[in-house]
Amino acid sequence: MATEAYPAPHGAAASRPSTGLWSWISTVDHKRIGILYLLTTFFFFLVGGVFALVIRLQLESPGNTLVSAEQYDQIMTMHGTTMIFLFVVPVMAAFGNYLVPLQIGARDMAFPRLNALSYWLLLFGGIVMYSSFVWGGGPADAGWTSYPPLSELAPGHGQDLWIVGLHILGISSLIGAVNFICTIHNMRAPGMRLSRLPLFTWTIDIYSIMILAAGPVLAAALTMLLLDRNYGTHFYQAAHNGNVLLYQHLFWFYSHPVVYVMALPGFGMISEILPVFSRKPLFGYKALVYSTVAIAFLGFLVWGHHMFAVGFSEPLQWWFMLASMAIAVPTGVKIFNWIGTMWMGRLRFEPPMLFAVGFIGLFLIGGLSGIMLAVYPIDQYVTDSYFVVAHFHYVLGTVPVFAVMGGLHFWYPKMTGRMLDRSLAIKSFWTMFIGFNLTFFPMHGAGLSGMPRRVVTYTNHDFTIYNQLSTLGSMVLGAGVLMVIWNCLSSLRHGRVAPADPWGGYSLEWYTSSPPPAHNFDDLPPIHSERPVYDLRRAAAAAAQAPPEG
Amino acid sequence: MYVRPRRQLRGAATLLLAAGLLLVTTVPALADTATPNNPAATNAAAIDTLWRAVLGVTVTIFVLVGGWLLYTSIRFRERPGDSSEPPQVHGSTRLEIGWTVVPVLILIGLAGYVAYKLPAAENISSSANAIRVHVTAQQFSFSYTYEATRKPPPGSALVVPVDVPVVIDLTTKDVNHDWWVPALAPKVDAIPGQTNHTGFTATRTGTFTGQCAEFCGPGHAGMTITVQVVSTAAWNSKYGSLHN
Repeated sequence: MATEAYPAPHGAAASRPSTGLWSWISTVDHKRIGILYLLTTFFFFLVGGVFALVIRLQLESPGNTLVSAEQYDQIMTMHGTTMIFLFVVPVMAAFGNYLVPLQIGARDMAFPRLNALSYWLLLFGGIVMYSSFVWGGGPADAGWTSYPPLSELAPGHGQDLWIVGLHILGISSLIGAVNFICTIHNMRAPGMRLSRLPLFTWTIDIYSIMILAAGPVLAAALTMLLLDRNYGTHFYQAAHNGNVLLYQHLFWFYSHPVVYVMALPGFGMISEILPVFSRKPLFGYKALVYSTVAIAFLGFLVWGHHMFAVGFSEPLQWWFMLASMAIAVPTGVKIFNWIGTMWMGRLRFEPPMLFAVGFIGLFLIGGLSGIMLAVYPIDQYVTDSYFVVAHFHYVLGTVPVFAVMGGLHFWYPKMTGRMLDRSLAIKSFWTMFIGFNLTFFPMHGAGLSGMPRRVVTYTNHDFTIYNQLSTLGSMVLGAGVLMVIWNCLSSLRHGRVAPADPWGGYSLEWYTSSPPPAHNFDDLPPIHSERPVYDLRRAAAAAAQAPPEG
Repeated sequence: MYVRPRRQLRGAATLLLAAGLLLVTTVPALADTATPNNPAATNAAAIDTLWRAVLGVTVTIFVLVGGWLLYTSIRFRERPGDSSEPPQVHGSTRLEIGWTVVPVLILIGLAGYVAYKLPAAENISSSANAIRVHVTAQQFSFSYTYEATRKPPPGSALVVPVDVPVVIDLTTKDVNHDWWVPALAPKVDAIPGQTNHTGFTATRTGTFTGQCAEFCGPGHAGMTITVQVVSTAAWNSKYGSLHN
């Protein structure tokens, strides 16, 4: 375990701020807002997880009647919507809020009050969307994609609350994005050039730019849907010279980039964890930054690969196929540079490292099935089947379950001042690793043998074995998630007190106390590389070895 | 102490070899159950071939890269008592260019192979003796009309002869649907305001089932498809009046 070879952390002696409920409600401290984000998004993660377990129990055997078709459609719609818009996208803002000012050596975000606003809008958006469970005739049931005409024909106001909820969440993430960009580009400590920015902060910058570019497009698509539903317009109605596919184009022009909005900060977390536990610098820092930018750019050009079955002309099919394949190149660069970082290292398999290495292996599977799906004749066979469900859980499910969990285990001591129970953390990693693969790998088989997604039940007995394995796996995965939550809660009270730098970290957040004082830093070390805390530790070690003067 | 790393290296190599062997033996078995199931049409068979090729390439990449990750994790893990700092390598331009260019070449090869195989997979026949069927989707069933005679098949199943190209013109009366019979053809969406096309040439007789693949509401799971492929003799004697 790393010891603090450099001067004692600063700020620990600063007076602790008040801890009453009102101090949390009125806070504009980025760290407290980050923790509020984290608690809220993990609450929604658990709710979305319960929906997933109901789905898996329903599909456990053919002809099962645990839930009705109507209930099933609501549950699968809210599972997808919750996991994407109320968990994975905002959980990145949770970590971004907590870490970006610390990593760049700033006092706070550029606009602290705006920061509080984006959190409260997130909570408000979630409440508006979930209020459809108690009024308005039940929640939306047209899938998280909510394609018209189905979403336009849906009775009641569940679909409208879904739209308005998403609008509020959209405003929340747009405000957050502006704040991140202003913070990262204007608030960096002296010496913290862009070429020395920690990778996680880099990915939050790209995340924010992508949200700003894509978010308004979804807002337009949803507004037209709302107008069509309630105010007699015909944007998506073919019978009135509207265009059904317009929605799909706009929706995926937003929702494909959002795949990378969710994944890139996860990549950023992996790029923070791997070098620390390999005791090496990142292999190819610049390549990792450029590949992030390349993925973000290409991410805007491939939306049509979600629509290979709608009857595109051949040139369009070819364009979307080639552009989608091209994304494999910068993604491959990332994976190779990560393994290059580990190569010749002294790998310490502490819990964050286990999650990070697990992530690389599983994301590789999702990336490779992505190449299969990019080949459009194959996609036309497997699209809208469980093969696709397997694929997007291997790319997007791995981000929260392995990258975010890795980040949580990495930064929990910084956020709380307590260490997690190491042995329980390792057990929960293996439980989730086994549960995840058992849940999602068999779905490839279900899809290839012909099982469409979004079905409440099935009669084809070829599908049964795959579904039973998935259901079993989902229980194991759920148990693993509960183990992590339990570890986080019990360690708050019983965990070993965390030092400022429990892991031998590299970036500035490890320079200040755990948890940091309200003003973050009393002073900052000189910044000459992307690893200021490492440089400091090395200089201190060299000074300790040098013969004393005079 | 200096022997240990080598012994561990050997252990890791054995583990890798075992994992590789396991993959090599199980993947073909997996491929058999998990492809366009027993393709019963020419273009489904072409997709099946394409699928096997892409599966081969991707599984090879998985074994190589996953193996590299596993080997690195085992080989370079921290040994007790060794607290020395590893070499602080910041990157290698030559290596990084290499692992950018090689994937590009693999993908170009893959795209070329797709282009070569595409005509067979995408076959919507323009032949004069093709049977054209109008398929109308609505919540929650498909109905069929033969273009030549404007007659529906006798039951709820679509009846077509073996070895004759069939062209499907797909429309919908209400929301989006998708016509998918895994053994016969790739799927295609039914979208209000447009007519989409797919087609197949069945290569053997039998009853093939499928179902709607685009979520269309609470009855989605029960929106089934049955296609009966009959022999030429049966078609001529029993169903020929549907088309002629």
